Amino acid sequence: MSDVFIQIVRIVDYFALAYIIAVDTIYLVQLISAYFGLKSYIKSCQYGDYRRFYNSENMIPISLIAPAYNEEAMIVDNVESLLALEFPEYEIIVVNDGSTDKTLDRLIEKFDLIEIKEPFKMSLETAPIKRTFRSLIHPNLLVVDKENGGKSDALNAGINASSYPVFVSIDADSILEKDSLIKIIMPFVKDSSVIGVGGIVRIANPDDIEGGRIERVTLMRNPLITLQVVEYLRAFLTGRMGFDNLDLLLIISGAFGAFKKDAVIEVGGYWSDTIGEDMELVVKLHKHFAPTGRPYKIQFLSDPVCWTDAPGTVKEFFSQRRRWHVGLMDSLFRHKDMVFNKDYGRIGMIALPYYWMFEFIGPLVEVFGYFFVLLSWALGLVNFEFVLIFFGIAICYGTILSIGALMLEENTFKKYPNIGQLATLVLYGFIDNLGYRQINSIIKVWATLLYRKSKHSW
Amino acid sequence: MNMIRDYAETALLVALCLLTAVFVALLIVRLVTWWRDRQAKKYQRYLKDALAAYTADRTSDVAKAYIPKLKQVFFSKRGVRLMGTIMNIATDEGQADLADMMKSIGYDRFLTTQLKDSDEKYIILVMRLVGLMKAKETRVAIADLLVKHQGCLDMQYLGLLALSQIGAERELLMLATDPNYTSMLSFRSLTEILKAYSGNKCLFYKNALKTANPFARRLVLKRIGAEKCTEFADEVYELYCRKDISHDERIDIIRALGELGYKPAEQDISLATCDKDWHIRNVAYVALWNIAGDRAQDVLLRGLTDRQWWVRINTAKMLAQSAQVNELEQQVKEFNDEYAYEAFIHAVRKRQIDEEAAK
Repeated sequence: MSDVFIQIVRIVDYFALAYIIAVDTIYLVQLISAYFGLKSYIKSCQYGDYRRFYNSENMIPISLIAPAYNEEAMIVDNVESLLALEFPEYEIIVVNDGSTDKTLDRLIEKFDLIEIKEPFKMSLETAPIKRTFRSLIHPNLLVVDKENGGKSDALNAGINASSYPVFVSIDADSILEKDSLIKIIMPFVKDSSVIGVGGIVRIANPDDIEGGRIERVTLMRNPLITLQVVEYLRAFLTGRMGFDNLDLLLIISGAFGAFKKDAVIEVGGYWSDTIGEDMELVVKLHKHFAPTGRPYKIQFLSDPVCWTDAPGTVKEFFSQRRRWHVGLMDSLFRHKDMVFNKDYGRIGMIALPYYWMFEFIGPLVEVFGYFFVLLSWALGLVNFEFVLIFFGIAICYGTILSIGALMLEENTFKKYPNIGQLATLVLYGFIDNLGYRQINSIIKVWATLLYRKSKHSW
Repeated sequence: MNMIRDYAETALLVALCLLTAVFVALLIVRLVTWWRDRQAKKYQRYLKDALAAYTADRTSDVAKAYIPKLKQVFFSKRGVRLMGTIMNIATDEGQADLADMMKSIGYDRFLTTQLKDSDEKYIILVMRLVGLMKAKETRVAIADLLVKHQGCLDMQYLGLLALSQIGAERELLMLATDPNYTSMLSFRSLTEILKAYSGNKCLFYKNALKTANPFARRLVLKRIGAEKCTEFADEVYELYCRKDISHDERIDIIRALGELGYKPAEQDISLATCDKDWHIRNVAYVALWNIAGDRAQDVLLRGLTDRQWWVRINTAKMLAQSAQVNELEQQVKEFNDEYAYEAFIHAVRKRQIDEEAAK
């Protein structure tokens, strides 16, 4: 082997090692920041006074927008759970995005829907609306039947149909906790500069849902789902909370986010041409408001909970993760002009470069790092000690983050009170870094390689 | 490369130590939270029993027997936090009873001393409890704290709310009329604060209407309209006739006059429906309906053809309440304005659906 080749392989190995140390250090900073953010948030919950707004005319009335595409199995239960929420004044807008199954029929039958022509203010362009329906049982339920245009398009149609100043986007297959709505809307009431608030998304066991409500919290037997439970805790309690505490929030989950309607219309609504509409919207809001100097806030709250379904099969899991990563890349490419641009403050100088370097390029470096280090060892270019250090760091720091997230959960919301559940989660916190995380990175690399081909497909 | 390797070795060592530390910390957290929850539940039960005894007969020996323990547990910083948690889960009635009982053992005086603490979040919690207990002696201390912590949004909200619950008219007026203390809070939270006012509302509204601060006037205008305080209708109308009022205040006045059904203002409001600003037209059509009803049909029909979507929709909603809907539908049809017709028909059908759902 030539000296040059050996030198190159060594450089790649050491670069990968340095990179892994850097990325894990940043995650550690996020964990610490999340700890302080959560501590402060929990303290503020002690004096939180949202209850007085339950029956107050001063609570902002809101529109709940739930896009639905082929959801016939769950749609009735989910709408019923939305109708049971505690909130003074709200409307539910279910947007049937050209479903080919019986989603609409189920809704018509169950909620006694009658067709009514709604005079829309077409603030945002969408695929044509076919019909609109109102419920004879629940006057606050509106169903918009439109031609298929994708989730973003359905959300835009929902915004057009909404009558209230704040809207909450929610996946049709998600369940909100009873007081989630009031908690997520409180920041808008308190502070008029708030334009977006995201809540936490947790994974539900379908057996725990009764009558559209989460009756208890248990873990599923499916290991893939339990691994995702740990991953969601890490992503939301550490990642989002940590970034929120540093004013670097770039994502509000599409499954549960509240926005000021005027602000969203001002930026042109959701971009129909993307599959990562949630990140896209938040980046767009930053891009629009940051340079104007107008005060605005986008926040994450770790308390309002939205329970959702997680993919239970490997195929579904692959498809979801590919979509997420393509969505992330799409947003990063569209807004590359914001990177290291002082006009966008911390978002341009820290958050976006972080996403480029560690969320987009990170999986590539990680996967190639694993490959090169093993190859180098096989070729005798590095010793076993190096391999041990490399994998030791990757696994140890990853486990610290998973266990750290569990610690934050234990210290705050304790949704898994049973000691057996905690032990299971700790165990999965370890397993998480012994294959699951690596598979995730491989999916991201695969999504990157197929980006051009698959950027519009779900 | 050797440097990276050295760093890496250290990083691995640190990681192993951290991992052990995090794992141990998780176990400790689990134990601590378990113990904390157990204690909280225990004291919650104790408080419930004490409250039951107090409600049955506050002078009985059984009720008195609870006092020493209550003082021991709740007259401390940790006790205040626990009380905050208990107040959060108690019903409104339970909150009032609890506040009453704790006040009877001097908890309000204890809380007053806690306002001197240096932890901002703790002070806010104390303010909340002080508000629930209506501890009048804290009014000056709270006002001072609000002046001192001008940049803290939560303190501004809960401090003003506490003053409102106490009924501290002088302090509230002083702060509400100073934009330094109110500009951070949203209009909605400020009106919610006023809603909780426990003092003499009439006197407060009267004084606030006379202030030079338009923001404070707008706040009470909203409450006057919502609470239908007709005794202030003349003063509200006088405000409307003034030339120096702002655009936002004009909107609030028109809305309030409508909610009060103040007939002498009918002509002025009818004129306001022709204003060049659609926000004013919008609120004027609604107010006009509230004042004149079907009498103002002709003017309201004009609102259906307004160039602004919201004005058409809101006017249609008003007209849909008319007793002569069928005749109106015929008239609207004759406009040959498909948007006006669409808005009107939608409002009528929506009303029918609402009525059917209510049945």
